[in-house]
Order: sequence, then structure tokens, then C-alpha cells
Amino acid sequence: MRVTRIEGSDLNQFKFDYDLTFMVFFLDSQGRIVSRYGGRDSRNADNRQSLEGLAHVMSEVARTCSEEPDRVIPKPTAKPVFAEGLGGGGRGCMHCHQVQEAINRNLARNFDWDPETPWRYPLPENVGVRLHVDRGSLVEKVIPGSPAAKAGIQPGDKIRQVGNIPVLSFADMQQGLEEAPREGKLKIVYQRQGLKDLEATLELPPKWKKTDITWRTSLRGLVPTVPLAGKNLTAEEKAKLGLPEKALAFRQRDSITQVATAAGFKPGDIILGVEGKDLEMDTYGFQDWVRREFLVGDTLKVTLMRDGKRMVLPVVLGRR
Amino acid sequence: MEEDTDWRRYHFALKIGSYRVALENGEGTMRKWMMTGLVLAGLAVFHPARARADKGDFGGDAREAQRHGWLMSYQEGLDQARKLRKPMMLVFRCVP
Repeated sequence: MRVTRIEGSDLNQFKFDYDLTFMVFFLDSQGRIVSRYGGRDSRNADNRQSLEGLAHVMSEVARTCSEEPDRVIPKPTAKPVFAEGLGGGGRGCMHCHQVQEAINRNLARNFDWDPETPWRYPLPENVGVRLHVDRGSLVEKVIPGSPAAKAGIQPGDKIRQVGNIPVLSFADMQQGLEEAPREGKLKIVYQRQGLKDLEATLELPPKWKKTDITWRTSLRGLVPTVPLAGKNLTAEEKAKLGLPEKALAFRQRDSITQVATAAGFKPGDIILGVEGKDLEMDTYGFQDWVRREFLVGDTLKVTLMRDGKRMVLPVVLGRR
Repeated sequence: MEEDTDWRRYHFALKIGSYRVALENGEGTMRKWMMTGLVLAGLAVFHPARARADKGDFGGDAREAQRHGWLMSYQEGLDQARKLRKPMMLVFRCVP
């Protein structure tokens, strides 16, 4: 069954990352969700999906319905919430990202917005797990020192449940992580070598949900403009200034933004990075890094060199 | 809006009819081969109308979509799933 207009869909039941343009729900014959398929990261819209991966999840759904028919998400008991009731959309048609924009507006109106609100649908990597693209919930890699590593998850394990969400796919795991607390403990169930389910607890540190929001249509207003740009210093120029070869260092160009001028920057200033951070990147890398790490309204404490002296100037990041 | 990719074309093949047939035939490896075969069959039979259909371009015509095998009514999908006692695949697809 295909849905191309989200109006009329109960958002309490069909919860997913509304910044996506493709999401599959597998429902049992009673209309209960067995699994989801879809999702992406900031690099590419398709690199977390594959035809083989979808076929694998379909096969797992069929097996689950046959062998574990109660391994589903219960239907919501709350009153339905419909997209058209949120406001937004145009020409009588609402795109999925407009749903998220409407949700964001309502959060802001009700003063429920905070700096961590944009960090939605964290990747499994946020807890230290990389799932195999073609094999649903199979763990391909575990990041050393991560919550998953400390909980004992290993490559080859199959994630079965995150929080209260049964997991067969990347999208299911993301749903579980989306519903997880911002800090604290999270139950994870996994299977090793096809044997019985094992349970562990992930210890979630503060800000674990932080993700790259630059791809999100609903949050494009939060991705900042970087008010500084220029040409990278050469290796010789860096050596003369006593800077490491790979360190960030670029000369602010003559055409300087009003924001940068108001903050006290001048053409010719050598931008070295951000206070407290050793950045090994070039000027373009710096632009990307700022867009990924900061939001509109954040203050960037920029370290620079002027006439041979180091200094720090704060600048408030504005909209694109 | 993100660009169309080969992935967008290929998902067209995974319509509910193919899914139901795959479920009704075989177990384990056989079912995998059946599903792979169905998907590949869907890829092999490539038609311009299907390319348009795959981009969600049914011209707003639900009947055109249905002719390509899609159900457009949630209740109808649920009724069929109950009748056949099989799961349903519901695709949210944002059409630019």
C-alpha cells in the first residue's frame, strides 16, 4: 500500500523521521507495526538502504509474523493526531518534512524547544553500533569505548530490541533511540550466534543524541552561516608562524561579512579555529564543521592571529 | 528535495502483490531466491510508464497507481491483510 500524502495518517501510530521522503511500515493483519524500513544519514540519502536490505527485512517480517506474532508494537491508545491538524502545508497537500516543521513550530510556541530538540532520530553509531546495510539488525562494527562496547555488544550480534521497540532493521533501531532518554540507561536486547536473547544496559552520556542536522529540510533555518572565509596558509607560512602543518589556518579575505566586521574581525586576520579545539582541516572543512557542530544563535569563540599576536573573538552565528 | 536514484526505481518492484506471492511460496533459502527472482523480474521489465510511476508520477490518478499494483486505501490494505492473514507493506513516499 502506498501513501503519497501524509494527511489522514495517524501520527501517533505512524511515527517516523518526517524529514525522510521514503519510509516503509510492515504491519500485521491486525494493523500493528512489526517493523520499519528506511532512514539515512547526513552524507547520502541512500547509503543506509539497499534492495538486498529491504528484501532481508521483508523476509524477517514474514518469519516474525509466523513464529513470533506478538513481537509487535501495540496500537496506540491515545487519540489520533493527524498532520492536517498541526498546521502548515500548502495547496492542500502536506509533505512529510512539513509535518516536522509544524511540530517544531508548536514546540517553540509552547516553549518546549531547547538546544537538544533538533537531535532527532540518532544513528546507531551514536551508541557505538554500525549495522550491516544488507542484513537488517546485524551488527557490523562496534565502536571501541562506546556505550554498546561497554555493554558487551559484539560484531555479529543481532539487535532484537532497543527500549520498548522490537528491532529488525536500521529504522527500528533509530525509532528505539529516538524514544530513548537524553541521558541515563537504555535496555538493549540482542542475540549472539542465533541463540537465546541476551539483555544489556546502555549507559547513555549527556548529549549522546547529537547528530548532524545539515541535511534536514525541517531544520534548514537552524543551520548557520559561517561568517569567515579565506585562503588556506601554505605549509611555509604555517612553519614561519610556528603552526603544525595540518592545523587549520586561513587568511580572512578582503570581502568580509558585516557580521564578522561587527564582531571585530578584519581582512587579513589569520583564523586558527575555535577556542579549546585543535582543528586539523582546511577552510572548507572548517565551514562544514561549524555547520555540523553549531546552530543559529550559538556563539563561536574564534581564535585568530593578528600582527603576530593571538587573540579570541566571539561571533554569534546567523542564518544562511 | 533529494534527487531520484536507482534505489527509487527499484523499490517500485516491491509492490504488495509481489510481496504476497513471495510469502506464499517456499521457506528459508527458497523464499529468498523467490523474492530475489521477483525483484529481478521487476527490474528486467522496465517501461517508461513504470519509470514515471516509480517517481510517484501517476498524474494524481489513484487508478493508475492501482493498475501498477498499489493499493491506495489503508482500510483496503488492512482488509486484504486480514483476509489473507499476511502482513502488509505500507510505503510512505513523498512525491515532489
